[in-house]
Amino acid sequence: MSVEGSGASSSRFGEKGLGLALEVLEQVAAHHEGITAADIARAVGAPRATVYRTVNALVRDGYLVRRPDFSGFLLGARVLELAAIVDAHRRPAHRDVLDEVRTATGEAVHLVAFHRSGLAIVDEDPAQPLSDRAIFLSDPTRSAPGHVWLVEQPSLPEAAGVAVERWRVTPPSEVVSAIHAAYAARGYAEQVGGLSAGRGCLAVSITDDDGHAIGALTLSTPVSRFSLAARHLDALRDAARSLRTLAQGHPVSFS
Amino acid sequence: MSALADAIRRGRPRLDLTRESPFAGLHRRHASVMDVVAQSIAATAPAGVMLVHPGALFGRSGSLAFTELLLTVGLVVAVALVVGMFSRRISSAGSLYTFTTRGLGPWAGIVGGAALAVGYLAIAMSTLSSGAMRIAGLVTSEPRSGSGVAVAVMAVTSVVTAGVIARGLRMSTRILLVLETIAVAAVLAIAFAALSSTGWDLAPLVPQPTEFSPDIVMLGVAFAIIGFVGFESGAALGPETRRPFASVPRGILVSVLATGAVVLVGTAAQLALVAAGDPAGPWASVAGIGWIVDLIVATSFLACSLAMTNAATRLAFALSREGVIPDVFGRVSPRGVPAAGAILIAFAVFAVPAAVLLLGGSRDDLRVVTSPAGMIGFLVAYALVCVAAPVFLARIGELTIGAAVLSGVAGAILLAVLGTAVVSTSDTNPVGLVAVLGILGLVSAAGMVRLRRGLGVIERVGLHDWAVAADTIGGGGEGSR
Repeated sequence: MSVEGSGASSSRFGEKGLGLALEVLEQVAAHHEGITAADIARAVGAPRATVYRTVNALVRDGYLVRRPDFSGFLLGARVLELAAIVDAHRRPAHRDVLDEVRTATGEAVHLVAFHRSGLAIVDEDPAQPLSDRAIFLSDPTRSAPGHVWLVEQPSLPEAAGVAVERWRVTPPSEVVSAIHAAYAARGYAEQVGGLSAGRGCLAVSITDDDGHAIGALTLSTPVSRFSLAARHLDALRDAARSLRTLAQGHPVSFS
Repeated sequence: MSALADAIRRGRPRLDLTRESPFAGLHRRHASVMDVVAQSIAATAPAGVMLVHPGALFGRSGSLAFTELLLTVGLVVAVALVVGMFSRRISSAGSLYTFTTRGLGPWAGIVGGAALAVGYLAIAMSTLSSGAMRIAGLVTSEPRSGSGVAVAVMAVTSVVTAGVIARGLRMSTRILLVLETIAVAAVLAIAFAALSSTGWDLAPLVPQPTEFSPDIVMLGVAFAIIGFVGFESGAALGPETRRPFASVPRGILVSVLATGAVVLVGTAAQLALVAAGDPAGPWASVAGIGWIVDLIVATSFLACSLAMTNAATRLAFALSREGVIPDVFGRVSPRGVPAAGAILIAFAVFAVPAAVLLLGGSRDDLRVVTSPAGMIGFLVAYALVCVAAPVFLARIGELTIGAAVLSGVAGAILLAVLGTAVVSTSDTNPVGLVAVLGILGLVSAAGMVRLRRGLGVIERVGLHDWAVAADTIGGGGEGSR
C-alpha cells in the first residue's frame, strides 16, 4: 500500500524478518551512543529498504527509539520484555565456574548469596542436593555458609527476584564468639553433622571489591572423607574469586 | 555474551535524553487509530463536499469533472503517503509544520506552518458560516433576519466547539465520527436513489477529448483538492495517540481512501443528475429533499469547522511550546488538553465571519478571502512537505528511490497546481489573492521575526514528542533496574 510497505501485516515479522530484527537489535545494543539505519544496513549486510522497514517496525512497537535529533537509534524500553526470553535461554555465567569446581573436587558444591537477614540459594548442586534445605536456611549455626554469614554480618538488602529466607534461629552470643574464633584460626568455616549426621561441609566467603562478603561457596562431603576435604580449599577459593568478578556491579549477585 | 543480552542485563540509564517530552502535560498515548480517522475524515467533510462540489466542478470543467476528481484522489493519496513517511518517524502536534521544519529547516518550516494555519482557519471560518447560513435558511425564509440567525447559530456552534475540544480529544473525535457517519450514509442513500432515477447513466463521467486542456484539468484539481484538505490533520494527534508511528500513518491513509471512495461515488451520482440537464440544480430532481440536503451539508460543515479548529489548536500548541507564539496556546487544562488555546481559536473562527455578516456583508464577501486562502494555504503546506520529505530522509540516511520518486512527483504536481491556482485567482479574484498573499506574508514574517529575536526559539523549533529516558532500556534513571 505504501512505498515503504506498511500496514498490519508487517508488524508480525516473518521468519526471515525476525532474524533480521534480532540482528538489528544486536547492532543497536552494540552502539550505546546510537547507530543510524544506514550503518545498521551496512553492518548486517541486508538491503537498505528492508532494514528501514525493519527499524521502523521496531520503533513502532517500542523496541527501538530514535534519538531526538534523528541521528540514530537506541534500545527502547520494550526490549526489556525480551529479557525474560533471554534469561530463559541464557546459561547463567556462574554455571561454568561451578561446573569446573564440581568436576575438579567430585563433591557437592553449592553457591549461596548473603543478605542482611539470611541466605538465598543461587545454585544448588543438581547431582547432590542439600540434605536439609529447611534447616540450612533457618539456623546459621547448622551449616558452614551459616557460620560465614555469622562472622561477616552482611548488610546487603534482600534482592528482588531471588527466593530469600530469613533465619528463624538466633544463636546465643557465646556460640557466635566460638564460631568467630574458629573461623579466625582457620580462614574458612567448617561444620559437621549439622544438617545430616553423616555429612560435613566447609565454606569460603565471596567478597566484593570493598571486601564485604556477598555470598559463600560451600563444599559438602560424607564424614568419612571430611578430614581430606581441606585439600579442595584452593579450588574453592579460585572459584570464589571468579564468581566475584562475575558479580561485579550487580545488585543481585550472580543471578 | 551477545551485546543485546548484555545491554538488557546492564540496563544502563541514559543521561543524554531528557526526562520529559516537550509536549508534557498533554494527555498522551490514549487515543486510537479510530480517533485519527475521525479527525481526518471530519476535517475533510466528505458528506458536505459531495453535495456542494460536484455541481460546481461540472460547471467549470464539463465532462472532465470526474476525471479531475480521480486525479485529485490520486494526488491526495500520494500526499498521504508522503505524510506517512514523516508520521512513521515523527510524532508532533505541529504535524506538517514540524515535518517541514525537520526537512527544510526553520525558515521554510515557518512558511509551511503559516500556510497550514491560514488553511485551517480559512476553512474553519468558511464551513462555520456556510453551515450556519444553511441552518438559518431552514429556520427562516426572511433574508434580512437570516444573518442574525446565522450569527446566533455560529455563536452556539463555537461555544460547543470550544467546549467539546476542552472536554478532551476523544470526546471531540467521537462526536465528529458520529456526525460524519450519519451525513455520509444519508448522502450515499440519496446518491443511489438519484442514480436509480436516471437509470445508472454513467456517460457523463467519461471525458470528452475535445474538452481536454491541461490548464482546465490543473485548475479543476486545485478546486477539487479543497474537498480533501484536512485529511492530514490526524497527524497532529500523534502525541495523544497510542503507538503513534503505527496509528497515524494508517489512520490518515484509511481516511483518504475512504473519503476518496465515498466522494467518487457521490460525485458520480450527482454528475449523472447534472448532465441530465436539470436546470434547477443537481438535487432538485429528487423532489422534496432540499431541506434534508441543507441539513446534511450544515451538519457536515459544522463538524468540519470543529475538526479544523481542533487541528489549529494542536498546531498552535506546538508553536507555543517552541516559543514562536504566546504561552497561552501551550497551556494545558487538568484534562491534558490545550483548552485555553481552543477557546481563543474558536472565538477567532467565530468573530471574523460574524463581523462580516453583522457589518452587512454576505457569505460571498467572506469567501472572497477564505476560498483562495484555503486553497493556497493547503497547497503551499502540502507542496512544502513533499519537498521536505526526501531531504529529511536523506539527512537521517533512510532515503529510498521509491520515497524520492513519490515525493518528487507529488511535490512537482502540487507546485504546478499551486501555480495554476494563483494565476487563475489573479484573473477571477485579484482582491482575494492579494489579501491571501498579504496574510500569508505577514504571518510568515511575524513568525520569522520571532525566530530571529526570540531567545532560543530557533534552536527549539521542530519540537516533537521525542523519546525520553523512560522510553529506553535504561528506564527513567531512578536507581537501578
